[in-house]
Amino acid sequence: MSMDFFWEQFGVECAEHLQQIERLLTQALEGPVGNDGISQLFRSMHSIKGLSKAMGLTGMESVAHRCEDILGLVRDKGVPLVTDMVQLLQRANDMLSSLHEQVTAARSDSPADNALLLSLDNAYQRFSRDGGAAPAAAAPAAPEPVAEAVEEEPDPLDVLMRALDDFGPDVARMVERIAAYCLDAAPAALNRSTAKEARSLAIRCGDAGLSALTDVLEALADEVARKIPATDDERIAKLARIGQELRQVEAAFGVDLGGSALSLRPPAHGEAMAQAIAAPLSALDLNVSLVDLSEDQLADVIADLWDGLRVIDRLLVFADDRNAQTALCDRLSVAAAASDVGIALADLLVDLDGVRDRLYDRLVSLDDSGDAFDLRTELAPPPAAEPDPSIVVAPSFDVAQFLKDHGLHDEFALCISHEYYDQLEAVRDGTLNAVLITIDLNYDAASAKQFLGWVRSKALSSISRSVISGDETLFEFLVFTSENPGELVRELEAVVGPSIVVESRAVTRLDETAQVVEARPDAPPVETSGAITPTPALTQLRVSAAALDGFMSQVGCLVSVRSRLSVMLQDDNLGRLLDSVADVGRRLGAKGMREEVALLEEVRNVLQDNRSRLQGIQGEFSRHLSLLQETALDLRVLPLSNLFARLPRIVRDLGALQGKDVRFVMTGGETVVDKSIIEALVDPLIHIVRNAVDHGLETPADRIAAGKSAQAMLTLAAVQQGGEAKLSVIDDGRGINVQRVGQKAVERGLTTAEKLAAMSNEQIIQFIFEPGFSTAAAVTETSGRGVGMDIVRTAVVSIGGKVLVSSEPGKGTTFDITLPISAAIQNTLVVRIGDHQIGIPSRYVDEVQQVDRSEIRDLHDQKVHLLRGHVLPLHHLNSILMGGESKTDERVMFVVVSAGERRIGLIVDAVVRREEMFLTKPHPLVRRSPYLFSATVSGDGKLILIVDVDGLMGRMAHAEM
Amino acid sequence: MAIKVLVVDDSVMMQMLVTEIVSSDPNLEVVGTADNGKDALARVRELEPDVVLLDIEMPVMDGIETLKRLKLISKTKVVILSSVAQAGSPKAIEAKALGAADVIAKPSGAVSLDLESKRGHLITSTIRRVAKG
Repeated sequence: MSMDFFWEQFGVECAEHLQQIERLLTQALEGPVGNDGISQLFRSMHSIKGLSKAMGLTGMESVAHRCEDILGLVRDKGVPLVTDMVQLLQRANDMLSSLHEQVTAARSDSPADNALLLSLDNAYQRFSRDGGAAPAAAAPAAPEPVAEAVEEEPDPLDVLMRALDDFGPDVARMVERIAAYCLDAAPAALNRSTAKEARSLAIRCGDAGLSALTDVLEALADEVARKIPATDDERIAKLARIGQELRQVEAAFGVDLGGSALSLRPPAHGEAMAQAIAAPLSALDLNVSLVDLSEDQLADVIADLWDGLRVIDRLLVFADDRNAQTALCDRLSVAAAASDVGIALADLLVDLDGVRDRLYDRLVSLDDSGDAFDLRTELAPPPAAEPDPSIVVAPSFDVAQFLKDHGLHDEFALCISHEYYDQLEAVRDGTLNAVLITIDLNYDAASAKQFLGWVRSKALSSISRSVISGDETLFEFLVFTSENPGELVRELEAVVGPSIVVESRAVTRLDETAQVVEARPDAPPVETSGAITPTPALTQLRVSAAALDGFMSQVGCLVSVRSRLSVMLQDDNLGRLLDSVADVGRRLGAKGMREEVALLEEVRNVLQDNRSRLQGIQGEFSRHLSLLQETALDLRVLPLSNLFARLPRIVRDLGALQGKDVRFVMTGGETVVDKSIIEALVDPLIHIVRNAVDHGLETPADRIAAGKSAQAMLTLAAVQQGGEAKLSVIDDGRGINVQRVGQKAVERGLTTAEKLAAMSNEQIIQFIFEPGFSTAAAVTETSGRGVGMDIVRTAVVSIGGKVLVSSEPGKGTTFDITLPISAAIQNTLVVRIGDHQIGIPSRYVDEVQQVDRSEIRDLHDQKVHLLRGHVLPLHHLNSILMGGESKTDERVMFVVVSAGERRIGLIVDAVVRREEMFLTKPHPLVRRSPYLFSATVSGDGKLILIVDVDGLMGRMAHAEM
Repeated sequence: MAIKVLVVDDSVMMQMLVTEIVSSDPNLEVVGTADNGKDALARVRELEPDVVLLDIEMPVMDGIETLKRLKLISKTKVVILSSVAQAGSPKAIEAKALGAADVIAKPSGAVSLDLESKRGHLITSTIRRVAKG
C-alpha cells in the first residue's frame, strides 16, 4: 500500500475528529455536554494523537497529547470542564487544524507553537492541582486533610484491599447468619436487629468504596425484613442470585465472604438455560421495518419488546453484574419517556443488540463451565402481590412529564431509574414529600460532609445531578422524605449554614399562577434550563444513502399511484354506469320484468357499495401516504442548527480580533433542509458571516460617530416557506457602497457605464457575486482567503438555491439565501407543448409573459422580446426538445427562466399548473438528452418530462457563439 | 500454517498501517479487521483468529470490555495495542489481569518505515511469541 493512502486516510480521519472536537467544545461553552460528550472529546483527541504519532508528526502529536492529558483529568478525575479550559482547548484545536492543513499539504512534519504547548502544560498542572476541589478563595483558609489525601493518590486497588481486610470477616459472618435464617427449614432464632445491622454494615462498606458489597447487604437486609416462609421458591432463587454476585466479588479479590452459603440450588445443565432463553431472543430478532408499520403497530411492537425485555432483564441478573442491569433499565426508561415512538424503538433495538450479545457471551461461558442455574423459576412471571423492585421495570410512569410538572430539569431523567418510580408517584400523589436542594459541595469539605450526613439521616432516598453554573460545579439533590419540606429547608440552613446552600425548595406541582422557585437573592443564578438539551436517548441509525434513495423513489412511485387513483375516481365511470343501470332498471320495470329488475338492483347495490368502499380506501391510502411522505422527507432532512453551531465562535473570535463588539442572534435553527444541502451550505454561510463582521460591521468608535449603538447587531434568521427554506444574514453595519461596486464593475468590464446608468441600485449590488469581484481596499485576514462571493453564489446555485443581496448605506446589508428543502421533491411549473406536458422546476422560473406576436422581433436570426427595456432571447421549447416548430398564435406565451446571470424566454403553448413533483432519477434514455433532467408521472398518469434548465442554458450559450 | 490475526481499531488508517506491518511477516496473516469491540466479538466468532490485536480507546465497546467478553467466548490470544496502555500503566495492568497476553505500544513514525524495519517490528515479534506459547 502506498504512502499516499496513509496520508489521505490520515487527512480524512483527523478532519473528522477535529470537527467533532470543535462542535463539542462550542457546545460545552453553552451548557454541560455530559459524560458522553466528555468521552467523545477525549477519544477524538486521543485518536488525533495516535494518528499523528503513527505518521511521525511530532508537532500535532505534542499538542494533541497535552490536550488529551487535560481531558483525561476531566474524564477520569472529575475535574470540571470550566470555561477557560474550554477556551484553551479551542485554541489548541485551532492550532491542530492549521497544523493539519500544513502537514497534509506538505506531507511532512510541522512544529507546534511553543507558547501554546507551554500554556497547555501550565494548564494541566493547574487543573490537576486544583482538581474539582475547593475554589481558590476557600483553599488557604482550611487546609483539610481530605485535600491532602486526594493529592497523594494512593493506588485504588490497595485502598479496596485494605477495606476488604477490614470488613470482609464481618460481611462473611453477616451473610452466613442471614443465609441460615432464610434458607434453613428450621430457622435459627434471629435477632430482631439483624436487618438493621446488615444495613449499617452496608453503609460502612459503601463509604469504604465497596459498593458491590453494599448492594449485596442491602438486598439481604430486604430479604430478612420480608416475612415469608423459608421454602419460598422466589426467595431461594433470589438468594442464589445474590450469592452469585457475592462469588464474583470473592473471585475477583480472592477472599471468602460467605457467598457459598447462599446457594442451595444444584446447578442445572447449560442446555436448559439456552432453551429457556431462546424464546425471548427470537422475539428480539425482529427485522422491524419502521415504514411498514402504522403508529399503532409501532406501539404494539414496543409493548412486545418491553415484555421480552422484562424476561431478559431477569436473566441478566445471572448474566451480568448489577450495574449493567441498572444502567440498562435506566436507558430503557429514558427511551420509553422519549415522546417520539420511532426514537424509542430505535433506542430499544440498539439496547437489545447489546443485551443479546451479553447474554450470548455469558451463555457460552456458562455452558463451558457447567456452572449454570435453573432458569425456570426465573422465567416464571413475577408474583403480582409483591414485585421485586430491582427487577420489574415500570415503563408506565412518565418521568419526563413528572419533571416538567414539577419544574425539575429534564436531565434528572438520566439519573432516575425505575427504582424511584414508586417514590415519584407518591410525590405526584402527595403522599410523599420531596425537596430540591442546590448546593455547592466544593465550597468547603467540612460543610459538604455535614450536608451529606444530614441528607442521609433525613432522606428516604435521594437523586443528585451536577449543574455547571459559570465556572462552578453545583449539585442538585432531589431528596425524598416523609418530613415536612418547609421545616426541612429551614433545618438545612441551620445545620450546614447558608453559605453552601444555593437554593432549596419543596418540590410541588407547578401550576400557571404560582411560581414556587424561591431563589436566594444573593445566590448566583442557577441554570435550570440549559440551552442545550441533553441528548439522552436519541440514537442515530446509520442508513446507506443508496437504500434511502431507493426508499424515496418508492415513495415517489406511490405518490404517482395515488394521483392516478384519485383521477380515476374523479372520472367516476362507475357513477355513470350506476346511473345507466338505474335507467335500464326503470325501463325493464315498466315492461314488468321483475326478476331482471331485482337482479339489476342487486348489481347496482354491489357496485354502489364497492364504489363507496373504494372511495373510503382511497381516502385512507391518501392520508397514510401523506404521513409516509412526510416521514420520508424527514429521513433526509436535518435541522439547520447543525450548520449554525459553529458560527457563534467564528463571530466572537473575529469580532475580538478586530475590536468589534457584535451581538450575534440566530433564530430558526429548527428549520430543516436536506442533508446534502446542509453540507454544501457550510462554506458559503461561513463566508457571508465572516464577510459581514469583516467588512460590514464597524468598530464601536465608528458606530458611535455614525450615531449608532456601540454594539453591532448580526442576525442569522431561518424560516421555512412552503417547500423552501429562507436564510437571511442581516447586519446593521455600514452597508455596501453601491457607487464603488458600480465603478469596479465597469473597470472589470462586467458592464459599461451606459448600462450601469440604467441599472437600479439593487441590480448593481448583485455584481459582488461576479467572479473575482472584490471591493476590499485592503486584503484582510478573512477576505484574503480566496473565496469570493462568486463562490458563494456558485455553491448556493448548485444546490438549487438563490442568493440575493440588498443593502442600505449606513444602515446595513442583508443576504437572502433561498433553498429547496428537499432535493427530491420540487415545485414544478407544468407547461404544455402540443400534446406533451413539460415540467420546469419553479426555482428557475422568474415569470410568465404573454405578448402579441408583433412584439417579438428577429435579431440576427434570434427571436427576442424587449422586456422592460432588456433584450430577452426567446426559444421555442418545442424546437429545442423535439426539433419541431410550435404553432404560432396571435398571442405568444413564454416562461422567463434564469440560471446564474443568464435569462431566456421559453415559448410554450400554455401553462397548465404548478405541482409538487417527486423527481426520480432519470431513465438512462432521458438522461441522454442534454436538456432533460428527469421524468415523472403526473396525476392523470401522463409522463411529464422535466427540463434541465442549467443544461439548456449552457447549450443555448454555445449555440449563440 | 500462517498465524491468523484480527486487527481491531476504530481508525481505518491504523487498521491499514497495522495490517501492513503484520502482513510483512510471511508467517502472519491478517484475516480481518474490526472497528470496535462489539464488531470484534462477532468477527472472532466468525474468523477464529489465533491472535487479536486490540486497541483500548474505541467507541461503542472499548478494549477492556471487549477483552472481558473475548475471554469468555474464545481461546484466542489477545495483544493489547494501544498508546494508552504503556507498560506498567493501570490500564496495562488491568488488561494483563483480564488475560491479555501482552501489552505493546502502537506504531509510530510510519513515514520512515521501510520493509526491513517492519519485519523486525515489535508487533510481529510479539504476535509470533504469543501464538507459540
